[in-house]
Amino acid sequence: MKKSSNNNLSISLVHNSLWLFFAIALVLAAKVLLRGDELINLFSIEIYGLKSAFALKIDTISALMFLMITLLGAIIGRYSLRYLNGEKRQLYFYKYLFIILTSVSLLVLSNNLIMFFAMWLLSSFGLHKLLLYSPERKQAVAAAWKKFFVSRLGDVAILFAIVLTYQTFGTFDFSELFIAANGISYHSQEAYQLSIIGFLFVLGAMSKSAQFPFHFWLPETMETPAPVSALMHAGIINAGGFLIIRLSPMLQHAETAHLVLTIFGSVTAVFGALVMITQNDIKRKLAYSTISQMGVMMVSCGLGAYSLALFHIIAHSFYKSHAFLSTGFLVEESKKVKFNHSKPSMGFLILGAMTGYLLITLGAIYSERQYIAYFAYIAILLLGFVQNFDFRQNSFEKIGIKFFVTLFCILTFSVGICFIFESFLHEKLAILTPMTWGDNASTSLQVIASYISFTIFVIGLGLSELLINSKNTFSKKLYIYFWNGGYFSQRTSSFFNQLTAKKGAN
Amino acid sequence: MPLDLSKNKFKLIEQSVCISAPSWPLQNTVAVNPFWFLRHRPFHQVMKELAPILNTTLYMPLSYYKDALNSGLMNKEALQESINTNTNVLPNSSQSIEGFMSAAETSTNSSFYSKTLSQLLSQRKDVHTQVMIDFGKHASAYLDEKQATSDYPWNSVSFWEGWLKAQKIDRSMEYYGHKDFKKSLDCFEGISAEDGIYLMLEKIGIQGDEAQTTYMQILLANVLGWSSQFKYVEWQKQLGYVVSSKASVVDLLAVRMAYDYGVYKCQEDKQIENKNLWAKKLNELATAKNDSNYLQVLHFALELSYQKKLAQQFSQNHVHEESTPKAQILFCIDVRSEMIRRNIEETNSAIKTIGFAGFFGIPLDYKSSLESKPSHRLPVLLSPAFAVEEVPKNKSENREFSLAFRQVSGYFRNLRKNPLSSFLYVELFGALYIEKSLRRSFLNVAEKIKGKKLPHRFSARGFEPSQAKITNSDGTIFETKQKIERAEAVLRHMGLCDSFAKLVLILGHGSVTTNNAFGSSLDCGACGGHAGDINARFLSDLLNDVVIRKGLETKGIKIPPTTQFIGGVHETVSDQIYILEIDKVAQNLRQDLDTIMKDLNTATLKTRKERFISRPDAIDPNAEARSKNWSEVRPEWGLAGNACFIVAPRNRTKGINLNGRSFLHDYNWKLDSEQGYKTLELIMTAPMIVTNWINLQYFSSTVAPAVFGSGNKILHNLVNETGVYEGNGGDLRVGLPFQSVHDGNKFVHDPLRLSVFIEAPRDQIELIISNHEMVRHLVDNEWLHLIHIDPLSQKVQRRTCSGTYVAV
Repeated sequence: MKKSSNNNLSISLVHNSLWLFFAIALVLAAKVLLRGDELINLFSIEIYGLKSAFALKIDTISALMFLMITLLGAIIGRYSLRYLNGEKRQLYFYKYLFIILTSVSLLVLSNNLIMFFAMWLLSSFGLHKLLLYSPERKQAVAAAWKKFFVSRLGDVAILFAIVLTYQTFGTFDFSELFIAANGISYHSQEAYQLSIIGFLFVLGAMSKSAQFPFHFWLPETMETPAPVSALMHAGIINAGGFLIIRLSPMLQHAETAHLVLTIFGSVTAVFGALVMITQNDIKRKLAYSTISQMGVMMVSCGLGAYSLALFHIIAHSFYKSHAFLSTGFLVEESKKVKFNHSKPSMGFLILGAMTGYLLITLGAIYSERQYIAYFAYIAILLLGFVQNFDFRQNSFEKIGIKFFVTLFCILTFSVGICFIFESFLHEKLAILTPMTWGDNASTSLQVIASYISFTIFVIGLGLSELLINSKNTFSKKLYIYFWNGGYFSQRTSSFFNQLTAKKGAN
Repeated sequence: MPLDLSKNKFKLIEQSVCISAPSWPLQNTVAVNPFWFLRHRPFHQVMKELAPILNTTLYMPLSYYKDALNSGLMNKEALQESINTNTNVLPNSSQSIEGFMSAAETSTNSSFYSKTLSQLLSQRKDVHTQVMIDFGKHASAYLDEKQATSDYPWNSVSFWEGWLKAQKIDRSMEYYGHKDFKKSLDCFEGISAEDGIYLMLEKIGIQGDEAQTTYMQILLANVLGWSSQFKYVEWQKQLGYVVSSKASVVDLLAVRMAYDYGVYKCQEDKQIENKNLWAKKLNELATAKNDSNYLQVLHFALELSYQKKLAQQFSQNHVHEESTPKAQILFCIDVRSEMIRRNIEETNSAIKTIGFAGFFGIPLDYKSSLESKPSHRLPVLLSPAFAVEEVPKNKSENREFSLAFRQVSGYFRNLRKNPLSSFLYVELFGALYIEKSLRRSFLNVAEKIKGKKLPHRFSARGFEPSQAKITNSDGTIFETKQKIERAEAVLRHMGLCDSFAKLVLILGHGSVTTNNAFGSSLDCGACGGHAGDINARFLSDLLNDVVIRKGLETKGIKIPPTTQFIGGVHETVSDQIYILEIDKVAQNLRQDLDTIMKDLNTATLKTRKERFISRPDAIDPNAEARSKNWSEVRPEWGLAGNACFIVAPRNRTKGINLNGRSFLHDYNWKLDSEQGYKTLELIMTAPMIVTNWINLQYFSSTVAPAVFGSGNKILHNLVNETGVYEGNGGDLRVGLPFQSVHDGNKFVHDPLRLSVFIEAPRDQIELIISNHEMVRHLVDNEWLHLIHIDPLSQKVQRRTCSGTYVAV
């Protein structure tokens, strides 16, 4: 009896401290808004001549991320009070929730690579523990170890990247790195090394953010409680994208790495989205949705639209954590009248795709390609609109003016938020980085990336039309392929089965 | 090789599929007796035979009964009686309690094992998990109508046929390492599911009827959830609903067996010896005796103890005098009504409460303007008598507008569902979820500030069930004459034919919960897993109708013009009582209603307190907050604790604290004798069955939560929007969630079989038992206890399975 009351005390302590974190984040964000960036020095250490000063880097990016993480953490913490009530391991959950939130917060606030990497590892460790929330469930354990394996691959890449970075620039400190990277000349030895560093970081980011082909562990983690999923899909998985955004002033000179990131991001986005629409259970569906959204985030990173990527991280995080916490509503929701909109015609889809290409071409000409990434991004979003647009339905006619006003308000509001946020961020980030890649000679790579990426999305659009509307043999084969998630789970399961079997034997 | 496909063979399949009972989708879950198709066999025998097949004991563990004995929950007298009456199952056991308990202690509990082939082959790799995941994948996609945007291409043919076709393309099993899986299925091309099953049994090498039946049952037990969902489709078809799906349990069995067959074919050489041993064991399993005999005796003793206590209370209860009540309140027979009824009567003795099945004799199909399909608001054993449409109260534009509004907002919601537009959706609306998450996190706080008002799910929204747009099931108009007949029947069955009070409240019940996939399991079972609000509104409108009242007068039921029927609802999370359409209450009655509502409020507070004290662990003490908390996994305890069903006048039980464990049906045998005991027949063939279903659902979810319960809510993963997986996938989980019967430390439900107390002439009861096979099976095979209260001598006697009566 006494033990349980002790547990309750600890739990409420953690819960309250999460809201305290959020309050701190609010204060810091206000400070950044009013007084600009700031560096809070913590301590500095020197081992074998490796000197590192540890500080909290508080600027627009980190303040926003910190705000988001602490708010999500507080919401999840509050949710789990009742949700996990009566569970033997409720305290265990809160313990690792606290560790994860602290480490992710420090990760976004870190000012050098050492601190960043340490927090990266710590959050990964915490997540691993939470994935093992039900150790008696075989599949939970298998999924946790799959994730463990993939994460370590990424960690190795990042470790090499950090070593190479130090070798090239002689510092771990972000601000110093950014200045040094901006000073290097094209075709120099440093530029060559930087592109390798870029590849390594991109590899690390891809493994963390479940990019194709490192995504396969994610859909199998549904053996954990919903708050863990919410935390993972909204908090930790973004770390890869954040890594690219944070290091963007340095990595923007690694153009080919960006090209690779864009292509893999596009494939991930399209693949995830196609698998998503074939899934029959909500959590797997949400998992593939996350994968595809992470893909989109990486596309904007890869194209150099970092402010868009940051906005996307925030929007997606709240959307997805809410989705995981609110699956129970679905049952009530599913009773309601549904409207199946008929699908747009083939000609309209082709028209949409053509408009997209035109937009990108326009972006390539306009203002010396400065905004090409935005043009490409809008072209991709346009495809989504095209896919759902149905001008044959007459429902729009029946509705009175009242409705249109409401609709207009909602749309203005969300587009408005989007716009204000992005112009604000764009301005803030522009101080750090010019929005085009490296030297003029290679900016054409960005245009090429835009075209390739958009083409992948167009192919995705075509495949999805086949998948949903057609019943021929080819579409059946497509269905089976995507429905099985491209057989990633099946192909990897034997290998990991043996791995975990060995672990069990030990 | 010619196949022996005599009729006898198909019978084996038929016998095997009895193991699965239907399970309703989450939209309208009703409690189901999971042993329903085994009811023709004795309860204890079924429990013991199923145990090795399900790999679980179907009684509570010995420690539970020992605790009960120590705590006094089980009394010694009852245990002695149980030992004495059960000498046939334990002939060699000691007759003394001490001797019996020590013998029970030392009895070895046989370790069960029954394996499917996939489980047998799981020694090196987890073949079984692979099979289950792949099976679940196909079964869910086959039944899915809602979740996935793209359909399973083979859902218009039978599952067996569709699955065989799908397997031609699907390479999952191959990638799992079963290289020849596809090839092994070639021989089933164009063969029916039944023939396929026998072909496989032969090829696997299982001989003998017993072994074959056992094997098929093991397979079905392995996918019990999916088979019960398939069974549901069959059930709906039998009730005459239009169902497009061709799902059948036999197909499902064939598919599940084909997985076993396929994986076995892929590794035949190495495992052949193992397999032969296993096939032999199947035969033994069929005849295996297991050691739950001690548990059986103890379990019966526990039930006896409960019955004895009740019987004693009845005999001590003196009958109260009747006076004309100030108000009459109709409640559902639900166990949750018992507590509040008692508290209402204690608060104001001038209020009379009546218990009746919660659909109030109105088996209707309701077409709500908000919902895409009509909801069947009636017990699931019946098919709807008529369909009622929801119409706007005052012909406003409301409906058009709200429909159009939802259509367009539906358009934006659709953005989320299509692959490429999902990016657009997140970009446009993602950030708005900050507000949504915060609002939902603090909703319980916000509601508290706002104060209590009619919950949204019960609010009329300017609509009402039409009294004009009613159609019979064949499409013809439901005429006034039929309405009068219906009204008369309802009132007569209720025993409410004279001495009407000024106010007659008709209270359906429903539970207001948030973000709760199992919300409908807390609603009214008699209304088919919906709240009883619509039935209450419909009936009160019907009985307030002047034309109907005139018609009733000709039939001898005179309702005074001063009497008004008022539809209301008993919200079971907070025990609050709401009046549904206050605008329909006549002005001159408002004041009377207000005074009564005050008493009801007092009763509500008392009830809340009492409920909390009875089960204080793991539940939020603030009852109102539970309704609105989106993270609440235990909004209420539902029908946990249910143990008896009392069919008697309220006076028999008035003033007795039944602890919210009793279904209460008002029944006056004297009134009924004038009608030829029609009401008694109805009670024993309908509410008694429903209560038996509820009771055995709670029973099974408690004694074997791993098999008959739907597992831990925190791991639930909605599939097809109609059911849940626990985690990644595999078998569908059906039954009650763990949180509904367990508070983290102990079970909150004592799994007693239902004790049905009936106060009526014995020969009439026997007549009904002999006339209805269903009732006979339940009573004779001890799926419930039937206890007779003699109306004249007030003797309480239990009916044994042989038809004799013994004193309780």
